[in-house]
Amino acid sequence: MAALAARFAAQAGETATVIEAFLVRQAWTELAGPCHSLAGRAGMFGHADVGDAARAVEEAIDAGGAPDEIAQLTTVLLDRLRALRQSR
Amino acid sequence: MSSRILYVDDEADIREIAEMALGLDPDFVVRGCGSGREGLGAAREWSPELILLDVMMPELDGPTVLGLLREDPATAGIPVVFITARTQAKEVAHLRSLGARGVIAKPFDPMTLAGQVRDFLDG
Repeated sequence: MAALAARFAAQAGETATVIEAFLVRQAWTELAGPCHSLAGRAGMFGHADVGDAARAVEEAIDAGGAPDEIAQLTTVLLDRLRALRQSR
Repeated sequence: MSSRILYVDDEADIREIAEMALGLDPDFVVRGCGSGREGLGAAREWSPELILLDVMMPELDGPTVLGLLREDPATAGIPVVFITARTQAKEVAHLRSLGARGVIAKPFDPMTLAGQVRDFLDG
């Protein structure tokens, strides 16, 4: 379990890069995929804040939220992923 | 006698945790599959007592897999519990309406997963 959690944390920077690329392109459909994955996984490894932020983005996309709203939520998610990466 | 539990999820790390969590319980024998198609084959070949099925997977998603299981006489009677990160009431109700025995939210607690599975087997 600890090894899996360490691997998750180690991938946080890479995940943030992927998400940021989708954000820049406003590729909301593509963005939903990694957010859904994070929503289901992050809490398993002790990072519920990341999971909650990812779920908020996914739900906003599902609900057809405004681009500004999705972008703002995605920025929160990116901040938490970067904080996770820096805490390692 | 141990119950055979099939866990189908494309997320390898979550699958590994579930296999560990359930595998530690002597009441269960667990087998993991990384795709819906792989899960369908394992269900036919292994005849599990319960299938834990991720909802969002590439190619064949959970609801599609459930439909295919129900079309095959060899797997039609196997109870299915969906695993999903989408736990809004509307989504859960929809999954239940498809014929699932229940829904487990992701992230799940590995320490309580075996108890949840036991409840679904009894239910």
